[in-house]
This record gives sequence, C-alpha cells and structure tokens, in this order.
Amino acid sequence: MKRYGFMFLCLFLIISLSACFTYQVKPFPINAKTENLNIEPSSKLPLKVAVVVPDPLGTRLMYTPPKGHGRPDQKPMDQTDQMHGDQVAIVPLARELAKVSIETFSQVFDQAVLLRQMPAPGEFDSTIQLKISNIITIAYMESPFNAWQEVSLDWKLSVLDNQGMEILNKKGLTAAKRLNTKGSFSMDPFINGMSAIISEQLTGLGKEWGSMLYSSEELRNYAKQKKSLQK
Amino acid sequence: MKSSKRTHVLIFFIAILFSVTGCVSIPEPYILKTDMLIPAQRQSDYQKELEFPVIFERFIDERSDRVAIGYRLGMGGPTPIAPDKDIAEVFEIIVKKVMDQKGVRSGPSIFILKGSIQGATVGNMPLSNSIKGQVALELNLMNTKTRAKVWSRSYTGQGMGTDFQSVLAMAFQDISASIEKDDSILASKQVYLASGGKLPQTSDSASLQTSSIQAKKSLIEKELEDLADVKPVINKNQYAVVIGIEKYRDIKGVEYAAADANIVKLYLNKLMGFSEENIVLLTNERATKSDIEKYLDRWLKNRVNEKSTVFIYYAGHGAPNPKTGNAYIVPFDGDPNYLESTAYSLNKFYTSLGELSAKQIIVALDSCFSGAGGRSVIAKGARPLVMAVDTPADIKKNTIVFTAAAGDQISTFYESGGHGLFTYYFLKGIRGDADAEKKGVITIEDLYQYIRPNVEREARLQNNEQTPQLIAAEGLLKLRLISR
Repeated sequence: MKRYGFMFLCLFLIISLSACFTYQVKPFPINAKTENLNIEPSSKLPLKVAVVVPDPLGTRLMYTPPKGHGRPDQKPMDQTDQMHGDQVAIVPLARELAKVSIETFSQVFDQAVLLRQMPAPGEFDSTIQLKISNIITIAYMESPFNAWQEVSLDWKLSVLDNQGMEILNKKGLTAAKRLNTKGSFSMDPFINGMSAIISEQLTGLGKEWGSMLYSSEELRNYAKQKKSLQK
Repeated sequence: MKSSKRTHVLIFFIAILFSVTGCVSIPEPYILKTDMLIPAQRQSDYQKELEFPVIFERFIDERSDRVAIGYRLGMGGPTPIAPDKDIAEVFEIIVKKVMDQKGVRSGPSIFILKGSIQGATVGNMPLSNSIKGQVALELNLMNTKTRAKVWSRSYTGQGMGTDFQSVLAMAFQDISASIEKDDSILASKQVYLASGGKLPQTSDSASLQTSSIQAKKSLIEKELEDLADVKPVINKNQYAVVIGIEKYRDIKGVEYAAADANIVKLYLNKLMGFSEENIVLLTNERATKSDIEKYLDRWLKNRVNEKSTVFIYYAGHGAPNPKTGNAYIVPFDGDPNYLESTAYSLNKFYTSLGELSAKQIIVALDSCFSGAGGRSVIAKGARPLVMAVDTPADIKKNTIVFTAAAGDQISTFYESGGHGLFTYYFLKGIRGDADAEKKGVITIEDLYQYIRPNVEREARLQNNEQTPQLIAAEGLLKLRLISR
C-alpha cells in the first residue's frame, strides 16, 4: 500500500507541475468606471485640451517575490519580458485608461479630445500626457495557505502648453490593494482579483487626476493667460 | 487506520482530478492580428478636393467586454478570441481612409469626428465549422463651437466563413464599403462654413488635400528645393545602395520609408558628392530579396576598391527570428513567418560588407529588429514582448553603423516632419544642423551627438523610447562626412 501511496504522490506532483507549466492566461476583464466630479458645466476650465494615451502604454510589471524564496531581502524584479506579447494584448490597460480619462476630463475642461499621438503644436490649448509606468506587485507568503500580493500603479501625468512646453508634471503611486494568492488550481481567482484591483485603481485615478487638474493653480493661471491673449 | 489510508488515496485522486482540470480548463486565447483586418486601400489617381477638415478623435470602445471579441467553441471548452491590439484602432484606420477619399481630412477644425464601437464579435456555433463575424460603429460629428451634434450615423458589417481572422476581415471590409457608400457627412460642409469654420488657405489646403502618405511633402523635401541649384563636387569613387520599402507585398507598410530613401539619394548627390550613376535606389517593389542581394553582394563587389567610400541606407521593416535571435532586413517580398528563406539576414549583410575592400563603409539603418512594433515585424504566433537583438560581431573596423534604435526598442516616424524619426534628424544633421560650431565640417561624432538627443526627445514626446546607436572604431569618429 505504501508503494501505491508513493506512486500516487509522484503522479500527483508530475501532473500538478505540468498543469502549472501549461497554464495559459485568459483576458483580464478590467472595467474601470468614471466617477462624477460634480463640476457645473459653466465652471469648467476654459481650455481645449488633447488627452494623449498611446496604446500599448509601455507599462512595466515589477514583481517583488516574498521573503525567504532564496532571497534574503525583497528586491523588485522586472517581469515585463516574462509576459509574452499576447498577454500584453489581453491586459487592456490603455483602452480602459483612455476611456476613463476622456470621460473624466470632459467634466473638467471646456473641450477634451482623446488622441493616440501628440497633436501638432498650436492645435490645442494644452496637451495632457498620461502614463502608467509600472504595475507594482509585492508578494508576501506566511504559508502556502496564507499568501497575498499588494498591487499598486505607478503613474505619471504631464500637461504641456500649446507649444509643447511643460506646465505641470505630477507623479504618484496608487494605494496598494491586497490580492489573496493562496494555492489554487485555477488562474481565475488571480485574473479576476487582479482585474478588480486594476479597475478600482483606474477608477480612483480618473477621479484623482480630474480633481487635481481642476484645482491646479498652474492650469487656472494658464487658462486666464490664454483668455487675456484672446481678448 | 485502514480508513485513513483510503482517505489519503481519495485525496490523491481528487488532487489529480483538479490538476488535470487545470490543464484543460484554461485554453490559450486565440489572438487575431489586427494588421490583417484592415481592408486594402483602393488606389485612385484622383485625389478628391478637401471638403472640410475634422479632428479625428480616438474611438471609444463601448462594448461591455472590451478584451475578448468572441469565443471559439471546442471540445476543451470556450477559448477566448482577443485582438493583438486595440480593435478600436482598426475602426479608426478604416474611417480615416474612407473619409480621406470623400475629402474629409484630419486638420485643425471646429468639427470633431467621434466614433464609438458598438460591436465587434466573431465566433462559431457549437460543433460547427461555420463562423460568423459582426462589427458595428457609430460615428458622430460634433461642432465644438455650438456643442451640437451635426451628423450621426451607425454602420454595421458582417462576415461569414470558416476562419476567424478572414471572417472578421470580411466584416471590416463590409463596414468599410457601407461608410464609403454613404456621402451624407458631406452635407455638413454648409454647417461648417455657417458656424465660422475656415477652410485652410491655399498652401495649407494643398497639404491637407494630399494628406495620403505617398503624396505628403516633407519638411526636408521643401528645404531641398533650395538645393536645386547647388553644384556638388563629385567624387567618382563613392558608391551607395539606398533602400526604402514603404509598401510591402504581404505585410503592412512602413510610413515614409520610400520618401526617406528618395531624399537620402538626393542628399548623397547634392551634399556628399556621390555621383548619380553610383547610387542605386531600391524602393518598394524594386526592393525584392533578389534585388537587395544583387546590389549588396555583387554590384558593390564589382566596383569598390581600397580607396572607395560606400554608403548603405535602409528604411523598412526589420524582423527578429524568435528562435535564433538573428535579425533580418525584410524585403518587399519578405514574409516574417519564413525569414530564413524570404529575408536578408543582418549577419550576411555585415559579412558581405566585410568582404569589400573599401576605405570606409557607412551604414544607416532606419529600422528596428525588436519585433515589438514600429518599423519591425514578427512571425505570426511568435510572442516576444521585446526581443533584444545582438549586434553582429563581425562588423569590420572600416565600418560605421548608425541604427535608429537600440536592439530592444522600436523606431518610429516623425509625423509632422514626414520622415522616419531617425532619418529626419540624420538628414537635418547632414544639412548643417550637426555643425554646431559652424566650422564647415561634420564628423561622424558630430552627427551622432546631434541625432541622439533630438531623436530621444522627440520619441519621448510620442511616449516612446528610442535611442539611436553608433557602432564605429574610435579612429573613425573624427571621419569627415561633410566638408564645405
């Protein structure tokens, strides 16, 4: 009986491992929502802005493994090249960012137009460039049944004037959200959990950026300057 | 005790069952190549006059599932079908092309053309080979002055067949034909003019009317008119092969590549003293694999001696072989799926140059080999995000190589300049901008010091990273490229 038990154990390990290696990732159902900023249409910033979101965004995936996995300290590793092209195609970060940003900035500015590339100088009063530079995940593992990752997005926003000179530049990191990653035979909880976190963070980012730009002194001064020049 | 053993065995069985389920329950997504979904543009000699300009906004995907465009039903369960890029971009390209034919072109305007994708699906029936595809788009023309919707239309396209890729391509062909047939948008011209919309002045209008890639007149081309009267000092012992492939037989083209090559040829003649009969220009269908081999491997060898200067320029697709990491120049008839037999290996290129007895060889490659987009392609189904292609080791000491980007980057184009980004600054540098101290001499080092920061800056503005590379022995850095 012992021999059979051992054989089963071996078989179990082989098949489990082969299951791990043949795992394919399915599309990430990221679905960000646009928050209402409650800005009166008459109090929008009087600027015609271009919002530039390239696709793909060129986001890097930075993964920090849990302590004790052959590494005494937690050092981040760039995992972007481990993701093959198709996985990038099925993580629609740029598409969602484009949607949420244009819907938000349309509430802030008199006119907001979404573009894939930089406009010609002078075509718009201002250009907003958005980038999610990194998806940062830090893994923690207390036991195989108690493991999680903390996920945050590292972003960059710059606003250029109508000649391409920078008038505002902000960087930030979203608050880390916890994703439970304890042992599972399916990738679904990971994909769905990661998608939910990214969706939530993009939703929050849209609101944060909208409010930030609306209250930005630099932009208000620039809008005034433009108005006085037009007069 | 016996029952405990039985429980263990049962647990093992359950574990095995779960593992096997893990193997089969997550099938690989079926990835559609969006480049192959765009219908070929009909060539027309007649360029319609500009009706009115519009700002083309990036289209918004309004579908509830914005990643998968359908599911392939099979024995292992449904397999998601996903496009390799944003499907909205396919709609945008089609609409731009069709509108261009109608005379509605991109430019500063009080009208914005917005598009929202209402549907893009492809899938088969259970246990059936028959596949159906459907695409739906809503277009809206907005007046930014009055904030009114000036024009609105919905279009659909359908396809049917036995292959996911071709069925969806058929649906896009169908929607393209529907938009083409409907000229109702042209009635908005009156609204445009009545709302104070201006048609560009003659010179601007001319540039909008010829907005297609082939007809676009680049900035440098305009500057070149000033060079018309320049009498070059010809050195008969200089030879050049200039290749620019803008249109490919089987794959997506490379914007501005043929125009780039034409202007490089003119610069070689006017500014660098290459005699016209010593410059071979290969563009588009003239740049097949056998053409490239003929001129690089034989034509040069038959002419070059130890006092010769050789210049090679290439603008077009580059491609990596995902298995070997070797890089290839993709000729007009090249196929990224069969690089070894249809493309020209970069190793062979440098070996061939190494066999020349020339005094110096200057190579400028406005291409990239990462397989990550821009001016590079990759075989269907190959999936490196970015391939860092090594520089071939056998570059001889008499050879200077300028490349548009590092091995893992993409090279892009400079829309407003009408050139490949690298070529734009390469030409501007030769024209005199690289001579910062106005000493009348431009060395290889001067040129590189000028190109690199300018390309990096411009690429950053496009949210890209592109760092041109220079490979040259130290002794060649001071080589005079231009001496006035």
